[in-house]
Amino acid sequence: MSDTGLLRLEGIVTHFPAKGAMFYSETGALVTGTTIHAVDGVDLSLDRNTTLGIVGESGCGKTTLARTILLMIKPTSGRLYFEGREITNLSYGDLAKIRPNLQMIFQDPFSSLDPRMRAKDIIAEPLTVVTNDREKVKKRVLEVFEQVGLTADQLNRFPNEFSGGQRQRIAVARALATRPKLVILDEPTSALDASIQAQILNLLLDIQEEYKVSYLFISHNVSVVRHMSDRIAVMYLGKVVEEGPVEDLMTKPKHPYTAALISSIPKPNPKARGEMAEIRGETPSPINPPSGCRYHTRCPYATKLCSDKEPPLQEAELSHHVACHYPLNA
Amino acid sequence: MSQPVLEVHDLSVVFETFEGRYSALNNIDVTINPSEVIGLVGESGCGKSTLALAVMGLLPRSHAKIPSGSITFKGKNLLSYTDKEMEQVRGTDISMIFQEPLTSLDPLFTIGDQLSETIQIKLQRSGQSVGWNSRKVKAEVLDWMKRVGLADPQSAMERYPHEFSGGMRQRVMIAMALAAEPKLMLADEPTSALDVTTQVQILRLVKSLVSQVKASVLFISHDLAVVAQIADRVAVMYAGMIVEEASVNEIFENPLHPYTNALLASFPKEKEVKKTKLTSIPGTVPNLTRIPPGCPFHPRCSFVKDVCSTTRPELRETSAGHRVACVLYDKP
Repeated sequence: MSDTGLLRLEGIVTHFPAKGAMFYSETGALVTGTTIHAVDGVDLSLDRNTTLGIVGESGCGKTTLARTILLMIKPTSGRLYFEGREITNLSYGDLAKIRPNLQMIFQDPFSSLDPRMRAKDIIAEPLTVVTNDREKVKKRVLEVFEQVGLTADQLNRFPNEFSGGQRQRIAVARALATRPKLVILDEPTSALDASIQAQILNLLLDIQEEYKVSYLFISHNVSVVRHMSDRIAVMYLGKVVEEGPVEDLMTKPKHPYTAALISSIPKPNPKARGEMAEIRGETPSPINPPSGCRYHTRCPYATKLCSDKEPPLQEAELSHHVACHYPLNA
Repeated sequence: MSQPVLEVHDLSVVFETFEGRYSALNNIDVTINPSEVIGLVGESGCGKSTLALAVMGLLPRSHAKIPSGSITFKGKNLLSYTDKEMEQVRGTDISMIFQEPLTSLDPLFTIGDQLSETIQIKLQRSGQSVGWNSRKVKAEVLDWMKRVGLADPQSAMERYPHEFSGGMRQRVMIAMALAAEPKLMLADEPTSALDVTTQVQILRLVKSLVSQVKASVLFISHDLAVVAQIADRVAVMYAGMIVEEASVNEIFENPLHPYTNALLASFPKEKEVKKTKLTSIPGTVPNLTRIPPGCPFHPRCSFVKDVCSTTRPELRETSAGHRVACVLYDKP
């Protein structure tokens, strides 16, 4: 691990009990009461002042991973390191000391802001954990409020008086107030219109430059992640199947799933019709994930080895990792 | 060209609410030709869905008023139809699919039963009296389930909506919408709730089935890229108005309206240098109770002139089939 490392995940596993779950497996047998393999062994690391994008389709474990990193959910197994120190089993009190360094911005700015709190109180709340000095809090609230492009006369308003884009700005201000080292962005622009999305993405880029903060940018929108990230990790059914520098991964994907995901993004160009590749079938259930490589049920290159043995995440090229027995572009 | 399937002329819709009058649609003109896919693009609240609901006659009568306009379908004005007459049109001549298929399917009936209903009504209207459980209906249900690509159609018929994934449910919705072989299908953000890999499957399916049954489609989406993949012609809406309309190639190669340009520019592009600033549109979409006077886009437009804040530009043809509502393209 390099000394610039901010966050490191070692074999993070987060399972949820699925009591009473009942469904038919592919062979027609009735399966009952087991576990949801939301995140199933993830190794990742994130450097200072960089952005790691996490892409994947719904149900692949992106959000569970984010919540696990913030220890909002305790991992079933695995270790989490923040600035070189293991934080997986910290006591509540010790964790509280670290928490101001870790912040999160959610997808829906309509449900992530308390409708009964004024904008200034929403932003001040995380600061009250750090300091008791009211004047300091007030000053800092005004400072970040203006930094995210809002004006001082809006401080006393309630969330319902703001538009979706403005609310997301408040959420950004709240996350920044404590000068965190890592901000997890969980689909931060998915609920916004195209013209507003660009505004918020630009704001996030400005902030990163000023605060030297690291982002963990989670999104299903590959074009947005590509624009924002230095490195990208692709998740499929609770596993990271590929991880690498953004340009490398986007132009020379090594995992068949990454390749399919990239080519299924519709391009804003009517001449590029028919270029979209189609993945057959549907994502299997995380309650009963396929054996071996989890993508083998849909992969055009799958062989018997793929269903028998799980491929480990290995370095295929310099700092470009892939979990596949038969990587592409090798 | 043969007679258009649907002609919307000068249509305005106003919602009366306790907050004031929302001008949801302002003098809309749209024509849909046979077997044509029209993409209707715009941001939330621009009136895309209101237009679809107006065509379907599904606007809430308690507070939606239609002060002007006509919707001509098969030579008749749909706005003059009674409820009974409209019922005859809905589902058979004009059908609709929605964004979230789970809320559009009845959770208490099996997929097979719900499809049977559509097919039974279709057969009844063509003069055949059949029961919904008859062999004839069942055979056609099975056929449609195969056509939309549902795996194992025989057992899928007996299952309930919650047992299907989002993509599968949308396939069922498409089967229901097209089983009656309508002249026109309204698709309101049909792929927005789906993952990209499923979206590809659904877009392909809609395209091939629509050409098989020779239906026209009004495809509503907020996503220009999706529309680029499916539409023949594109209309761009802003604050209840159509600001530009042209063939799909024209819109993407030669966009004229500043809003269309800005919308296209705000997409992160493949070739763009990473982590550079995106072109964003300043300000926000106007509240429909307070649409700015003149051109509704003028407060956010970078080419704004004095006249923009006073005179509302009309949708004018600049070249064959390309219409734009902007003073920049007015001939002196």
